[in-house]
Amino acid sequence: MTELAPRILVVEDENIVAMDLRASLIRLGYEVTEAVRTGQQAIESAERHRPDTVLMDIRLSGDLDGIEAAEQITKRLDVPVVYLTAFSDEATLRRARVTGPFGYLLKPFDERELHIVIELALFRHRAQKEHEKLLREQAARAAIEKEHRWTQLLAEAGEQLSASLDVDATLQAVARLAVPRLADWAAVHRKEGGDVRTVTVHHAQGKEALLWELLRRYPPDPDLPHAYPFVVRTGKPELLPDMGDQFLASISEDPEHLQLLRALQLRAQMCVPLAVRGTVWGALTLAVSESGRSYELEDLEHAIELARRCAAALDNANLYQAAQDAIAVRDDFLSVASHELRTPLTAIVLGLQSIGRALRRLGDEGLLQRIARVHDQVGRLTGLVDALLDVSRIRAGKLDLKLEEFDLARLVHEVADRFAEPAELARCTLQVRTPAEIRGVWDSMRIDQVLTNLLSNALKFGAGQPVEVTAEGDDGSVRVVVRDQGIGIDREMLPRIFARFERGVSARNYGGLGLGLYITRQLVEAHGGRIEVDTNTEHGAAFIVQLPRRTGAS
Amino acid sequence: MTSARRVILVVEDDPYIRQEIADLLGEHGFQVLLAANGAEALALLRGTRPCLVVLDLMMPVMDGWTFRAEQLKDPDVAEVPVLILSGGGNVARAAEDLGAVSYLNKPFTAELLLEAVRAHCGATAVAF
Repeated sequence: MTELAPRILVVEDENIVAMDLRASLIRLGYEVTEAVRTGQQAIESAERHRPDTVLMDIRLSGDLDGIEAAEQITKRLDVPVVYLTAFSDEATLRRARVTGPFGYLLKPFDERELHIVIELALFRHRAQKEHEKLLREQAARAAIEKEHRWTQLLAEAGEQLSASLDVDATLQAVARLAVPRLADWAAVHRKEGGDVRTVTVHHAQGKEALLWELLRRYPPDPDLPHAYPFVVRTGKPELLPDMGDQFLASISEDPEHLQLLRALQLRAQMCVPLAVRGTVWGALTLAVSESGRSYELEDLEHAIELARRCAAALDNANLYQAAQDAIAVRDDFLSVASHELRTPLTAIVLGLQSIGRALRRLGDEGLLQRIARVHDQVGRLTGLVDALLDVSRIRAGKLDLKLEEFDLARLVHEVADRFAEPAELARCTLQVRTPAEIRGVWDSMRIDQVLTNLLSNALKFGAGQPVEVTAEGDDGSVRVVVRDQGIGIDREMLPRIFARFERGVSARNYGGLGLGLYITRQLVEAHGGRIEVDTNTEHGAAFIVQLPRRTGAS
Repeated sequence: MTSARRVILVVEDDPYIRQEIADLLGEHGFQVLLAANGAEALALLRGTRPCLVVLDLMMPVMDGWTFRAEQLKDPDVAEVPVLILSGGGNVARAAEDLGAVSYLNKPFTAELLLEAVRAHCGATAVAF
């Protein structure tokens, strides 16, 4: 492919010179788009033909001289202009220079000079265009990279901010996130009462100590518009794109302050509010120093977006913390309450027994029986208090097992015997089937509690129907099943019945704290066992407890 | 005549429980000394040398743990056995830490208390 001949516009008001030029140019292998005489014609011709170069005489007849015409042309078109002139006075050259010409040719000139000047102009113009293109590409790449860094930062922010529900850890993550991609250092400030306190700082070069010293010794004036107390108060983001040394001097309180500011090499800073649901509760300061970058509006937008996400994450952490605190208060309360309830219970038990002894001496059997019934109710009350304490123990992870070897078969019968009277009252027949002996190592008190909970549930929900307890064991495990034929359990309730404070039935029909099955499951699992509900029964419910079995001191 | 009766020191801040225990043990022929906190108990302990201290843990003025520490510092009374009463936390662990001979979880029955007391003070033959 042969290159097209460069196309040249000739602007020359002297006919003879113009004709001469045209001939020379053609001889040199150029194409002449047109030869015109005035500045106005030159502008029009250039617009029409889009030449590769304009050869422009400076002194022209008409309203515009060559320099003015060149100005107009280069304003509209990207075309190199070469001036032809017989005049080389300083004033003219200075005027011409302002228009950024690609060459001068002093009249008279020969063909060789003409050729060189045109080729140079074409070459310089091409080189300039290449350079501009390169710059544009670099800028585009930088923008893409910036955008990419930003997307990456946001992705990481999402990850890190959701990694912890701890408020302090989240605050630190916020500061670390911004450095170094968005800032050379970052500080998180938090409203505490009427004050705004800096809670964490992070510096790309580890200059946290300097930052702390600056914040401690020279806390920002609350009315200084770019500083965090102001931002927290107004809720408006602030950008200080360029902080020269003069600016630093103007805000410094004394020479030491200025020294600190200089040591930190502050250049630009942004401060954005941390706000959730309309309430500003802190601010994030981002600053550039060592890297020498500056901040633009786009950076501020990024900072605002980052702060928005941080604030949302912190809100989550705060809410979680509040929920955890409330749970801790409740568990503490359960523990204290169960302890407090024991004192009067002890006095009541001992008092009832004291009355019982007196009645026995008097031989009043009727009153003795009534006292015994009250005593049973105190036993029930004690069971409820125990449940409260167990829940707080389980929550605190303080459920200690007292392991010892015993006969589980015998325990099953003992517990069933204890339920003989309640079963009669509930009009249930209680069937117990076990082998002669199932020895193993468990916590007998806790297994007693498991059996007691399951049996009292069976009598409560299976009133009027038979209740069956079976136990069987092999070398490695035992299996205890408590089956009733009562109201059964709704399928939808199944996943929840072992949860704390849950109940399988409405509290209107059946009482209870909703703790029995939760505690039962925790006790079984503390033994390394499992409890499940047999869902294949048509009537009633069957709870299956499986416990690992070992014997002796192994 | 009183010297034949075995002396038990009951340290319990709740006045109702304290009185019920006093009545129960009194009915069964024990001589009972009552203290509402560890400080009162220490004074009584040094003057009387009981066969057993029935000790509540959480009490105002001086709690059960402090009482026990003070008791062990005094060689004259260090050997007197202690029975722990408590209504919360891990009583078994506390009893072990304090070197108690036994413990009872609140609420406990008269039978359990009598059984524990007799194990350390013996049955009394005194009629009432």
